[in-house]
Amino acid sequence: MAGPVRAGRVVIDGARIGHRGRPLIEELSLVLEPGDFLAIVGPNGSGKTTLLRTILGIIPPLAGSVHCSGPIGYAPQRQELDPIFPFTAREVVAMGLLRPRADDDPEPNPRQLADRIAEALAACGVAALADRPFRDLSGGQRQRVLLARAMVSDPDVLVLDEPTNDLDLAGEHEVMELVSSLNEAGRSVIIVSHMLHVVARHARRIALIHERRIEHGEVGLMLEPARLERLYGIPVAVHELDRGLMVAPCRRRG
Amino acid sequence: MNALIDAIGDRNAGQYIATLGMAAMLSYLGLFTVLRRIVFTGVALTQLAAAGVATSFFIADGAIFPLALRQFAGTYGSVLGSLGMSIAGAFGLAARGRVRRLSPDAFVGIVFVTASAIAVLAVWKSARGLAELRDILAGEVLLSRPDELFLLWIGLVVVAIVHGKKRREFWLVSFDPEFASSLGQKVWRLELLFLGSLAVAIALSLRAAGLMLVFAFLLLPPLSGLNLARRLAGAGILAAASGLTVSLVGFLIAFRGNLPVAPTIVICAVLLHLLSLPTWRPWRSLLALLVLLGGLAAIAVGAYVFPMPGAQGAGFGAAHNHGPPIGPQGPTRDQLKDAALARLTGETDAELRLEAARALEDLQDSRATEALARALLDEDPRVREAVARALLALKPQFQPARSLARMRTAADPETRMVAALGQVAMEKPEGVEGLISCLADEDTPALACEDFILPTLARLAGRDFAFDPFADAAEKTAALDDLRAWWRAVGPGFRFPGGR
Repeated sequence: MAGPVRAGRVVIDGARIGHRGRPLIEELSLVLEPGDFLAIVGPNGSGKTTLLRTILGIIPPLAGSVHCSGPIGYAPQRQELDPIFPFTAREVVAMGLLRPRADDDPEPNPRQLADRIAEALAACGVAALADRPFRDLSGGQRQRVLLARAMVSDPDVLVLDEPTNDLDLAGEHEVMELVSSLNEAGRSVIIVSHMLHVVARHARRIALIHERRIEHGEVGLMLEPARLERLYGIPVAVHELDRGLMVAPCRRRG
Repeated sequence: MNALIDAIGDRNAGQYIATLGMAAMLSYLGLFTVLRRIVFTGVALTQLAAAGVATSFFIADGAIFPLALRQFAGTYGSVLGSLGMSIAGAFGLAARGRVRRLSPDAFVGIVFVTASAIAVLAVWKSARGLAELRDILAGEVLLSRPDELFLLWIGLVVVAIVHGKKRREFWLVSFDPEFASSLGQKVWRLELLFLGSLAVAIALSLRAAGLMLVFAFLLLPPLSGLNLARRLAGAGILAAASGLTVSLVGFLIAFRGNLPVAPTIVICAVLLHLLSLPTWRPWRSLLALLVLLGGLAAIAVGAYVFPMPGAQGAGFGAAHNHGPPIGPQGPTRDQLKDAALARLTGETDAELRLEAARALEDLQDSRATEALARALLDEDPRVREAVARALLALKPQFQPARSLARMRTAADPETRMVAALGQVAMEKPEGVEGLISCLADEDTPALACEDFILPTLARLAGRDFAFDPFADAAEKTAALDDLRAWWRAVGPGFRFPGGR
């Protein structure tokens, strides 16, 4: 499944990340190399989503610089989307092609666009659902459709915000296997998640946000019980299993 | 259907076709407001447009404003006021996301109540009073002037072009603004463009259709479309078709039942929505088919009655442009109306003018209001009496009261006077206020005061007032005070002598 590594590289240099002048993360320097898989982890309100929005260019850093080479595909939190809209899965994926065009860009060929949409749906295993209403799909199917929408513009970097929230075990597994396969195909991946066991199993590196600072490194190094206890304020156990790590809170003795 | 085509004729064809244009466009735009759960935003924009119209009345009637401004407000104020207020509202509503301390609903609520209060206060202080507010609410599709319809069409075409080019972006921003931002879309600009297009469509439709019909088009056909279709494209087509269908059926029932058009269309839209609620699939399929056929029928009727320039008696739809013949070889109904109108205003023989007034009472014509009001200055009292009867008998869907209210804003004092006389003939209390205003107005010809205004007021009051148009200012002021005191005393529960 491994493919050629693509050009997606994200460089954050001495950045202060925040919103409306209020800093949430200070002095962040981080490089995401092409083909990397980075998980961003932190407690609620620590600034994970703000960091993603800064990487996506939606909000500027308060200081320093954030630079991304290559196009980015983004899958926001699924729960934010109102199920009242009667879009089909195909129509949702087609939205990923609505990047503003420069004046001198040629008008895209509708046939080619339709092919790209079909390819993205197929790559995410939802081709059979193309004409089903998005709102009628299960949580896992919706997430796959959102991944297809992020993929349809053939990005070098994939940015995913809590893709496995509210999914059952099978849905979570399917989505993360799909994300891993897209990463193995050469795309860089940045994922925000609360689910440490999920990121421990799939990501290569982890960035932990704690008290406005980010510590980042290899998964094995970062997921230490003492570090996690400091982050969450409760005792955390880390067990090594055959295929990855298992992270769980411990019951306090006495 | 033939009755409808006959009733529309070429007199109301423009208004009918404009209603179809409004119905289709507002129903399509309403899909956005319903799906984005911003129905109340649509109401607020509609109310802002109404406040703009009311403000223009206030300026047009306000003695404190310079005459040039009053005349400008009287001519263009309603369109500019409604456009200006609703576009300013669109700016505010697009920017509301930046005000974190205020929930969106609270912001829209503030806009709504402010606009409502401005509308009521502005109308309260304008000479036309609450009757005009009622007209804004009920609308008058059939009495829209050609210049208003022309402007409406320009607005609808502009909105259609904007949505033709940007509809995918509008849907993207509506569904997932954060993803749109990640693609590099300027979400705030698109929001502004969308709300601006909504504001333009609402503001221009408001003067032609009234607040109630505009809001109904924004709400009911989109809901019916969404009930009848599972996908967005289908919902869009069925929403527009629902708007067209209820317009056609509403026109038909209004003409048949001698009812005002706007509320009839609204009731039809409500009924269609109720019919679309059952979820039994064959029923929905059948109803969707009927709605599509209804929409096509509405367009076909519009095409049939479409007044082709220079195609008198020939060409597309010519057979009904002039109405069916009255007799086997006789003149058409519209030709008779034309002849009666011409005679009423241009004939030297009083008998013929009298006959024309009586004919207009029978024939009914949407254009007759102004001609009849002017004929209230006829030298022959029999003609004046027949004309007053004809005015009173005009069908409500022609909304003569609103025409007269409009004439009251004219720059010409004689037009203002005949409008007030017409309102009195129609037993509207605001006509009495208008006559008193005319007496107070230095521009009103003294002879007109003596010949028409004072006898009318004397008949209404059952006594003479000591008003002499040739007297000095102090005497006139005293007489006017007497008149106003009388009207203050009797005005609230006034019954017109011999009134219905």
